Amino acid sequence: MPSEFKFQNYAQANADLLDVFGEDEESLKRHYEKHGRGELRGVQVDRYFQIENFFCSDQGDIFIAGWADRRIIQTLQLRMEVGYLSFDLDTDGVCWYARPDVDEVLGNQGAANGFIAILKIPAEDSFFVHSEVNLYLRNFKVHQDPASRWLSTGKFLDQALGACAVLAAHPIGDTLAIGAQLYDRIEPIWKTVLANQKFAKMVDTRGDADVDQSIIITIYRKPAMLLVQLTELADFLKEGSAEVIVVLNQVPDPVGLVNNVLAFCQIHDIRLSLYVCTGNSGFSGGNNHGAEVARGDTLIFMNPDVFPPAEDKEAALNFLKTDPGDALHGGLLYYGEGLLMHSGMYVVRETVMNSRSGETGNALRVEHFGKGLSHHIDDDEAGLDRALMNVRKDACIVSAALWKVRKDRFWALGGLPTDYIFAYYEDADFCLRWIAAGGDIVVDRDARWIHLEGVGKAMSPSVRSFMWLNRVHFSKKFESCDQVVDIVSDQALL
Amino acid sequence: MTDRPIKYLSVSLYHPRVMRGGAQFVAKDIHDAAVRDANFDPVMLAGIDGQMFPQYAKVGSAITALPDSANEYILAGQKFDDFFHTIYDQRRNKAVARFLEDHQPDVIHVHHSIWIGLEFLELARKILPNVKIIYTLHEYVAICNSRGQLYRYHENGICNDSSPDQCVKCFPDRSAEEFILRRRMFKRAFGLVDHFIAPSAYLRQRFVDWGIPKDNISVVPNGHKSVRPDDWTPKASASLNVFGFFGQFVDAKGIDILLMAARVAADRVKEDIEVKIFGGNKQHASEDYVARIEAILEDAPKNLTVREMGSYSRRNVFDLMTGIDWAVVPSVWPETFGLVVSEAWDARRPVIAARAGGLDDRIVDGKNGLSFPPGSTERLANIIEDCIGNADLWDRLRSGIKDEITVDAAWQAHVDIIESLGVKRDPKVVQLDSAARI
Repeated sequence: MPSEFKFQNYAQANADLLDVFGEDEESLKRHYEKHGRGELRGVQVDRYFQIENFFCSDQGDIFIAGWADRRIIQTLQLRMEVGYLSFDLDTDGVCWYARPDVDEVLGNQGAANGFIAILKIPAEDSFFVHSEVNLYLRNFKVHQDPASRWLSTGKFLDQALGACAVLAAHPIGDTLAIGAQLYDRIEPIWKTVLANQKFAKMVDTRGDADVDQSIIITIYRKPAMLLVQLTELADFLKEGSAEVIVVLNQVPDPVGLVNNVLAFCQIHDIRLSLYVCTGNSGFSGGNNHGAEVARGDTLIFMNPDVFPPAEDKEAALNFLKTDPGDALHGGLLYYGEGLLMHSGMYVVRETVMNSRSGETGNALRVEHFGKGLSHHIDDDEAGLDRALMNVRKDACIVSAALWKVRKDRFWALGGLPTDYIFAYYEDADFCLRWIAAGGDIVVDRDARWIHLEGVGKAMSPSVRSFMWLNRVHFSKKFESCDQVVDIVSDQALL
Repeated sequence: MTDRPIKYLSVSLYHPRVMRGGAQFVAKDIHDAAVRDANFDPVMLAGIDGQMFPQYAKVGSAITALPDSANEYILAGQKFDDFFHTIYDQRRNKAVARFLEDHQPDVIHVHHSIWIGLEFLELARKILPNVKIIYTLHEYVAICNSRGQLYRYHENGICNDSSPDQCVKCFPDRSAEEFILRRRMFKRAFGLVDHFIAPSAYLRQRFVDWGIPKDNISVVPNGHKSVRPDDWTPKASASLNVFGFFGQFVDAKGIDILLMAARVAADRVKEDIEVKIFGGNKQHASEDYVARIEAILEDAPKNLTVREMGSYSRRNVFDLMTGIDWAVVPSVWPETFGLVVSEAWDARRPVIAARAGGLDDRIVDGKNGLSFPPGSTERLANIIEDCIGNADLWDRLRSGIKDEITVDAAWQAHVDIIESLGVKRDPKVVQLDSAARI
């Protein structure tokens, strides 16, 4: 069936072309094929392109999420007007993903119609916040806000992570590629946030006393267990030569907590310093700060939900005062009711597939040796032997919920990695690099501690999101690491 | 052996003059009994919520004297962690430490953790390493975060399993781990206590089951000050049909059970039934509870009269008790003692009580009262039917009533415990002091 180009309609609908080409059929046809189609001339754009989420930071970060029918809108050419300034946005980093709900509307089964774009106005461009923001796809205005809100970088990061959480719920194989893309976009924002954090020293008791060990407790948001934890450690701390360094990340009412801690130290004469971070420096940032200010030669990293057993604490507390030597030590961690939670960890590599494209990749996950075994904290040595039977020493790494390491050795490896957004995977990263650098890792059999890890609580969207992005990053970084076991080996490890 | 009177510090939650309540009455009674004992030099410190009672919380001062009361002080707090029961306040610590240093108590008798803070025990041990600490358990707060009542409001039943995972059912926003820690906090603090006192065997057993060694906890009923005149003869109404409730108008007290039972009974009998409700704090009852009660009373049979009589006090409770025939204690939570039973007994009113907690210790069914399963409207309705106009039953139960032990007797039991802890006064010095006082 012969096709016909309705050049007269094209000219009538596009006055700018009529002025240039008149009704010259060939010129108009050539223009349509070369430019007009891409410029979406004659297309009802709002039926094929929708923006569902749009926000900006006061530093020129832009978050856009929505969907498009990519058979019609093949590339996103976006321009943003901020007041009287106009910026062409570099949209190379737009991440496309499958949206079944959009498929239903567009009738395009299996297409990657959804998009998330985390864009940036380059620092060298003049950029001033203004009340009015307009966004254009080609020449079509697709978003307008006469009174725009401008987020600080930290808020932007949190909101962007929350908006990406929809992807975190997908199978990892489907999101490995887009996760890597988004990580590359978000990581610089995280680094900016991290660089802006400041730590205020709010408590320092017995700052002149000798210190051999520094126990670093970094708390994110929830400090409720701190005073309980300190109470449990108080007798040991009074008698020994350990200091406690508390770092508070985004803790509400830090002043109230400081008062509580000072009051605690009135009753318990311990060496304690407390630092309040102006925001959230993440697990690595907080702990690294603690390590920087530590006076002891031995660093002990302790989660705020880790406690010595209620009875017979001596062996557990002994872990805190013995010299780790050149090794990185971890403890045995048990659930609140006393069953084993952790006797070391290992990293598994599994092949995953994108269910739409068929592309395969490697995703890593971290597993705990002994998790869920019916071995109890009070069991004898024989019981522990049975529990540790399948721990593969060459693959074994330890959770930073309870670590002990010499300070110089810790810093020789650069401290905890800060390329993980807020938290998760940094201890596994450190351990794998530690092993690669020739270091030994020891799970201390005598250090039996309770880890009251929160269970069954819903995580916020932003937390789910950065867990996913960090996993993607970790997977990419260590997919070829020798200590990572394959999926077949994983079946025999417990 | 000490050559001076034994310095005895009572630390209570509230003082009856600040806010009335069972635990503070008991603490004050024991303090007053110690005042009457020449062997003792008592002082009282009452922890209060300074935000709720700002008139007692002087700016910048953690401890203030209670006006017109020698050796009675107020310890006003501004913040209280109502989960872990700690306060941790620097100014307060300084004041308490100095208070303890100045008073040098030989015995500290703690009556609560609320607005006292568990760290008080740590501080006391630090300042006075050899002090003997006694702790009276007035409720189950160490075991139960739900108002210390061991009552499952979501199930309307007594909690017989206080495992951390069960606690989460009452507090879905908290984790079992938090309850494990809460228990640890209490147990650690209680490890600093030399001896515990329980007002009932039921409460004692719950705490023994929870982890307090059984030899470390004694049952001492709350002593009662009788106001019954000598040669007074108890009388009842001619119809023996007046049932009285004395207590707080809150969910766990079971007013709804009484009213529902009275309604069922009124449907079955021709005689009039009158229910008098004495009690305050209706504002603390849940909306559901109040609505439930209103629904029960809607279209009630004409032979049922229910009267809300307003609040009562220790001063007038005897007279009010004489205006009823039967005292009903329909609590659905395991009462730790049941002060109202002592008050009813003082007025020689037979008690009809739920077999809940300490009530079950005290009411011997058919001997000094009648009892029914907690929450059973049918059984209570049957009892009400049996009671109406039943002079024989009333006389029989009345004659089986014995007074609760006196405050002085309760105090003597405390003295025995104190002595068992090795705190004694030189008897020769006692004689001298007694003579001097006369």
